[in-house]
Amino acid sequence: MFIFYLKSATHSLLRNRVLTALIIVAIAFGIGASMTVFSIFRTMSGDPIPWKSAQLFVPRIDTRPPGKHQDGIPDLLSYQDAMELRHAKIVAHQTPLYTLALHLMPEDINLLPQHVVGVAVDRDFFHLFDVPFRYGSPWAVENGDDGSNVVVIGKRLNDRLFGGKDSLGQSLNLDGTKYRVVGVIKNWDPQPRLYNLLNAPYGDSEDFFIPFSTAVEHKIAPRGATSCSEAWSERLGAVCTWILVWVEATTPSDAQHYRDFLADYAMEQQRLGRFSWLPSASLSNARDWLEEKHIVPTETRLSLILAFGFLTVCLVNGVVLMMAKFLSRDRETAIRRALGATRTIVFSQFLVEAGVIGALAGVLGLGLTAVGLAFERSLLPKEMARVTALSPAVIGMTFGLAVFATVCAGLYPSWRGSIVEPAVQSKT
Amino acid sequence: MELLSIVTGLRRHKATSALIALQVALTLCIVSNALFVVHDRLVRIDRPSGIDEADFAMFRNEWLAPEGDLKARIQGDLAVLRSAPGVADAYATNGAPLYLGGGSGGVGLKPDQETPSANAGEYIVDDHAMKTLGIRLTEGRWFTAGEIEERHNGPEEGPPIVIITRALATKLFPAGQALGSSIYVGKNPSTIIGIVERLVTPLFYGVPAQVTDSFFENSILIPGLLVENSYLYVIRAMPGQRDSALLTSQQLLTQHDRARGIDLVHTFPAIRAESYKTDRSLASLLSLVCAMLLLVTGLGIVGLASYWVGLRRSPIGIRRALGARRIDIVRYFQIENVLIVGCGAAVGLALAVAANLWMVQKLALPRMGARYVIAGAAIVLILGQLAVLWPARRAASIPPARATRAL
Repeated sequence: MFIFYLKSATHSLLRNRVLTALIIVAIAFGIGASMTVFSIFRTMSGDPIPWKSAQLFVPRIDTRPPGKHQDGIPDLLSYQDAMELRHAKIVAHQTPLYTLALHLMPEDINLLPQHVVGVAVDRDFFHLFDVPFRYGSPWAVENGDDGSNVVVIGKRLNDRLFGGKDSLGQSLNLDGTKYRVVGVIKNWDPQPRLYNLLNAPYGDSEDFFIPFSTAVEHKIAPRGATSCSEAWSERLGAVCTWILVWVEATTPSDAQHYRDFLADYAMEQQRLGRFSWLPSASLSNARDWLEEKHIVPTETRLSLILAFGFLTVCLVNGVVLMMAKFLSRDRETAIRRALGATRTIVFSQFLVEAGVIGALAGVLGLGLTAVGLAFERSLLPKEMARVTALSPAVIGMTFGLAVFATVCAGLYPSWRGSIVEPAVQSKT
Repeated sequence: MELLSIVTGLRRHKATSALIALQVALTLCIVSNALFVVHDRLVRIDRPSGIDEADFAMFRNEWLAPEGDLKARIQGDLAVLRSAPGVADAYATNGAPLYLGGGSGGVGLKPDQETPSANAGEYIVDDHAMKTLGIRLTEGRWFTAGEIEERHNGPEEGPPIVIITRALATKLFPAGQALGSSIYVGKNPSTIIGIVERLVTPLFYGVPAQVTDSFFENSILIPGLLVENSYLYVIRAMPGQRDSALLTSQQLLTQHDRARGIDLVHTFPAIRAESYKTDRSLASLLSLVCAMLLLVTGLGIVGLASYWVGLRRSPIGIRRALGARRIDIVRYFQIENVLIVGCGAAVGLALAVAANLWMVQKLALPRMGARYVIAGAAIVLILGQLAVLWPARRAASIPPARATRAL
């Protein structure tokens, strides 16, 4: 029966080709535009590690004197606070983090040094963010504390320097210090870079990772967001902030435990006379933090609203034209009704026709989405252009949306088309 | 009389007419809001920087072994740069107009003012900076070589003298008299010794555009030689020699002292293009979608009107037989279209304003002026007329005799 409906739908679609083409093209345009923008939006507002993010938290302590701060609690901690949290060991896994930029000194004196960006972290970082290793592993526990010059490098740097081969034990000269490679990361590119949102959230993943203690021992200055001056002594104090801390709390009670600890810590700092006020402290879940950082630009939200507005117009247009198409067949419908077709049958046939229109619009819309994404790639800043790929999920959603939306749009025209009275029409 | 018959005619197609009017309303709502955003962004992109953009070039210098007398090394570099072929002048600084990664701070009129009177971008400049940037000093004087002290990054204590932009002067001293007055960027007072016509701020990490735009023309120039491990060199090339001067100066510096890394090499058009890339891509995306939207709605009107022409072949023939001219038939469809599109536009006006207010609240967009909605309404009305022309002409060509035959 359905096959027959499909055949008759195809047949009637071919009858008024211009009108059919208009409906299909309009819906396809709407689908193409909205899916282009939506796929960008989805990636940008996305959670790069949905399976883990509920367990990751950022502790924050506001060390500024009370006053009119409109920007909420700062994200970064002072060295003193970060180290207190690290030593308290309230949770099993946590890491401090800061971004650093160094120069990779080539062996060949005639070559210029290359700029490389990395982060200083504790070895728990790799556990917290489920970083996959190609070769080796995170540095040993003792290396994290003794200031060893060890480094974990990213796939890109390993490809560039060692042709993608196993480079464990090799050494890298970063700003004059030799670091031994203990691990090489697999292709790992979380978007946005949740762990380092404050610095280029859609940028490439880091070239290298070195132990936090080592970086501090070498007095390597943080790059990007910081409230510190260049004096190293000030950086190791309790006032200026430059370290982001991540903790893992696997259960809600762990998180609550950590919250209580933070509140106690803030009170203790006041009691010790460090503050004359009670500093506010908070523990934010990674997802809330992502939301709070508004990393989806206004432009993308605006485009999303616009694109779905456009799709709505295209669908209303589809309703109008399907009305015209279905109602113009009132004589044929009347005859079929007189020959015994029930309203339900006529209605279903029209609806199948709408479905076929939707499927065709879906195919065309998919092509337009591909074109739209290519267009966006050429316009967006380079670091954001990478988030615009046509994934299988996007393909499925595009097609599904096209069929679903068109069938919905076809409901009213199908009903109107099916309520034709047999008797009245057969009289003429 | 004719109007009445048109309305009666439309009442037979209530649902379809209402739907096409709804489509027009939505189109108007989207088009006017998009027009507004596009115009807003284009104005933003075109804002002048206040500097000589054509001959501007910059790069970052980073000392790999920051030992020894850094100040002397920087001064040595500047001497090399200033005598380099094709270079008119140069200076070392912490930031450049429109360039991401500058410094900013609050400016007050009293020491320890709780809420600053204004925000401003801070530039550390020396006696060569005016000529290098090509900015226009309208009041007072520029810094002399003797006033250039060694400076470092970090919180500003308050230099004894500063130069500010006209916009900042007006904001701080609405009654005038900025020149010679004191302002506070730190705990010490700074006397304003000069006012420049225009110099826009750099851009700042993590600061959204709405915030930067609120003090875009407020800049403070602080006299100093930035003695840091990492900073920018800004050069002004001789006219037409920018690219070669940029290359030569990097080579000369590397020959002069190899223990350095040079990166972030930019000319001003590149900086401008990079800073406004999102604006530009948004503007072109919105324009493209608007064009497609108008096309879809136009084609929708064509499709529906053609269908109605087909339905009304007999009545049109009768009218023609009874003496209606072709132009009367065309006019009939045109008036009908004005009625539908007009109703749609009226609803669309309200929708457009509501959508804008919603976005003002949700996305912190500015309020839309009435002209965009009016322009949008004009566009949909013209579009409607253009779209209905072809079906109306076809209707007018229905011969009177043929229609009567069909009866």
